[in-house]
Amino acid sequence: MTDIQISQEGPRLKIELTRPDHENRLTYEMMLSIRDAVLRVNTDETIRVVTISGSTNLFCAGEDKDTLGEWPSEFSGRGPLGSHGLPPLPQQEMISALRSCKKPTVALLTGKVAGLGLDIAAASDHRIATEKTIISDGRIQNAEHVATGITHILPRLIGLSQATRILLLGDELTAIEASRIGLIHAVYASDDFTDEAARFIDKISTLATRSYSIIKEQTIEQLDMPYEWALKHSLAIRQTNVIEDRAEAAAAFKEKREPKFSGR
Amino acid sequence: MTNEDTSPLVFDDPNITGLRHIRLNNPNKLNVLNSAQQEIIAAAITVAQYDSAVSCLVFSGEGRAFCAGNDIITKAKALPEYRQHQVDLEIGSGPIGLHDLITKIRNFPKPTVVLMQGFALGAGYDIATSCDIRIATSDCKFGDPRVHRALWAAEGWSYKITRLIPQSYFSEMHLRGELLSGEYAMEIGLVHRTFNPDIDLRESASEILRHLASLPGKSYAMAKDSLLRGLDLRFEDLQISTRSHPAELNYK
Repeated sequence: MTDIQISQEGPRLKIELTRPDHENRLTYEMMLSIRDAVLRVNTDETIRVVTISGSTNLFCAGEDKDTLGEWPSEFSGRGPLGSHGLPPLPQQEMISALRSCKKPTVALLTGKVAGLGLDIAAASDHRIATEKTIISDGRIQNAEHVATGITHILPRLIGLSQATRILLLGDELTAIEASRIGLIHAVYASDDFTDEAARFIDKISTLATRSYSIIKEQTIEQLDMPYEWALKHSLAIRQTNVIEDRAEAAAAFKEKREPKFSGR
Repeated sequence: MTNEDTSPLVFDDPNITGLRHIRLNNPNKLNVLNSAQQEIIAAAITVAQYDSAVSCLVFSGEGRAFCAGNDIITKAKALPEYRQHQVDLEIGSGPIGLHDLITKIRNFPKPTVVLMQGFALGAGYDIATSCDIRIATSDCKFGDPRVHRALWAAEGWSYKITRLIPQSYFSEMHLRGELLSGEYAMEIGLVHRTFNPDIDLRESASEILRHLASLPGKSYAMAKDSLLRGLDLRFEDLQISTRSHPAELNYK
């Protein structure tokens, strides 16, 4: 497929949206490719970071209902025709897979981020951007449906008040403003972005990946739990997961050197 | 004592189609609210909800302040419908009426905006935190001083504020009863726009009000509903609930 490139570079799984003539809007096929790639990563020990990127001056403008493509055969029988159109199942499954991915995920935001593109960014662990990035939703303005789970994710990332601003009021945020409200983690000048992003990704890919994934699982699942349950959940996770890198961390500490983690 | 009518005013904006105003009109007392006034507002909200000509609701106050809180001096008797709920202690009728009012505002399926100048305290703050969009003058004093009056604040801000803004700001504002300026409330994300206090907020905010009044109503209602429900649902449950959203919601 030419609309999306998925490749491995060392420990990094690179997902690139390459449909610039449609502002990198996603088709059903692209959504399911992302879902499948991200699900595979969960059990692939060689991959320690997943990145999603667009083109030089464009991340992803969302989806375009006229160019989504054929309704995927795996969902046949789950798309009853009606005045409100097909249900957003492929969108939801892609976002769910990203959100619960066991490896670090980084969205590289360059330029326009809108609609489903915003959902992808918000479901990733890290969002870094060029100074030219503009984030908005736009779905309400176009009388579209917001049903990917972003209404769950965004208020937990930045608070309901600012989520309302983006989703309901429809504000367009510059990278600086998005960074101010905590939506973006780092903003770089466009010229430096490739180098800075590479540094950022390298650093994440050398972390103790297994430890990372356990903490991520705890954090995301515990968003929906009462405090007392969260403590018990943490305990259960601790008792049922082995982190081999613990030995290396202890050795490095003792020998006063930087640890070299395997990710296991 | 004059018999001047201090009831809230309910009227449609002369310049912006679909915009309905609910304007507190007791400026000599900084628009403090009594239970009869709350009842008028609640009734006006119900009318606006089912009036297809209304596409956006805006709350504002006449005079120096949006709303300085509940009228704790002239204790109005509880309205008949709440009498059976009244706790028989010397603490008055309790916040049941205000609960109903702010819940109606919160669940209102069209855009809700509050314009705050001067003060937005107590009940005024409860109304503000139940609206979708908060607009303030930069010098507006904003918050809940009830802790200083040895009062409860039982109107749900303990739920709302920790979800509206990051929790780390919570103790400063609420447990210490500190008032925020409009500017600071903007910085921490609680307020969406601030404007010059020397200009009437209705004028400063006209562009944003016009925008909100022109949005596709059904899409807005669905997104708002799932944002609010999403606060209390697990991720998976919210996704499932939104799949059938459009068919269930049928207002324009």
